[in-house]
Amino acid sequence: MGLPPKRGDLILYSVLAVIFLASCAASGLLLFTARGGSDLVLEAVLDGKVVESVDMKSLKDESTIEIRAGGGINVLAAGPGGVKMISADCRGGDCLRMPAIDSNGDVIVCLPHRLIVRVRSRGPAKASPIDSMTY
Amino acid sequence: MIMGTERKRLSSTGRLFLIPLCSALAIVTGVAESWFPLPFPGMRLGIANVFHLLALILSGPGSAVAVTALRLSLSFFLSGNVFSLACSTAGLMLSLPVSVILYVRYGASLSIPAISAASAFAFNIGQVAAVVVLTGEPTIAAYLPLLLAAAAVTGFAVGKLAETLARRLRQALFIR
Repeated sequence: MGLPPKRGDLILYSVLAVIFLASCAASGLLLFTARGGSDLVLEAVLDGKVVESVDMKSLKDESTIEIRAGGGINVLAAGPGGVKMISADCRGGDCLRMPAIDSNGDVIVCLPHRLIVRVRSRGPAKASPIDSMTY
Repeated sequence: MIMGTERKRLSSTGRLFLIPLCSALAIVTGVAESWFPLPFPGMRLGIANVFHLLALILSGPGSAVAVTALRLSLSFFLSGNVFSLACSTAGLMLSLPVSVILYVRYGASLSIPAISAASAFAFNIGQVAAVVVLTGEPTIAAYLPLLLAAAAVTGFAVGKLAETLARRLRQALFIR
């Protein structure tokens, strides 16, 4: 069934494999440079402005945070694995399926409400203090 | 036998039914597959792309662009989601040229599943770029390898499906 692969296929698949590996390297770099840091803070960012900021240590299991964003309401809940979006009245519900966040650099995005919930470090980053000053 | 670019295309009457038919089928499958649960947000099966490829194979780049434009605009009217429109547009701006150029220029030495996989790659890269720009949060790009891995599989499968459908339709419609 079906047609056999053609002679150019291997070249194209190799190009795709290279792009894939490059994206793996890039995402590894993104995730690793963001890791670490102390005094983690949970920030809710609406249209590029921080509207809510909570110390991660002050969050206890099952405590919830309500955020009004983009004409709707998003509800976050703290749990054993980190903070998760538990309710959102947007159409897609994509944010509800995003994994719980607990370390520096983690994000949950609710695109329809233009809301980003992220974990940031307030303390000095170990690797590069200059970045944390100018950020 | 399907041999790249040097084959006869549909008549203008054929095109008249193929473009709306492919657009309608693409929109319906697009809505249907959005109900299909997938582990990661932004991941799609992309079955709707079968019809874009079908238009490209049976009728040429013009029809493929028409089908894509119709599907994009009509899907937006159905969902009303501006952000998914922005993401899809960014993805299609990359994936449409990739599939058309690969098929038209290198169609003789590339199979449809390979072209489809490349096009799926391009779509996901465009989409992630749009999300990063819209949110200003570069960490989201870390999702890209996951999406690309899925795109390789679904893109290939979609290409295989389009290839088979095109061959069957060619026989049924007596286009040789």
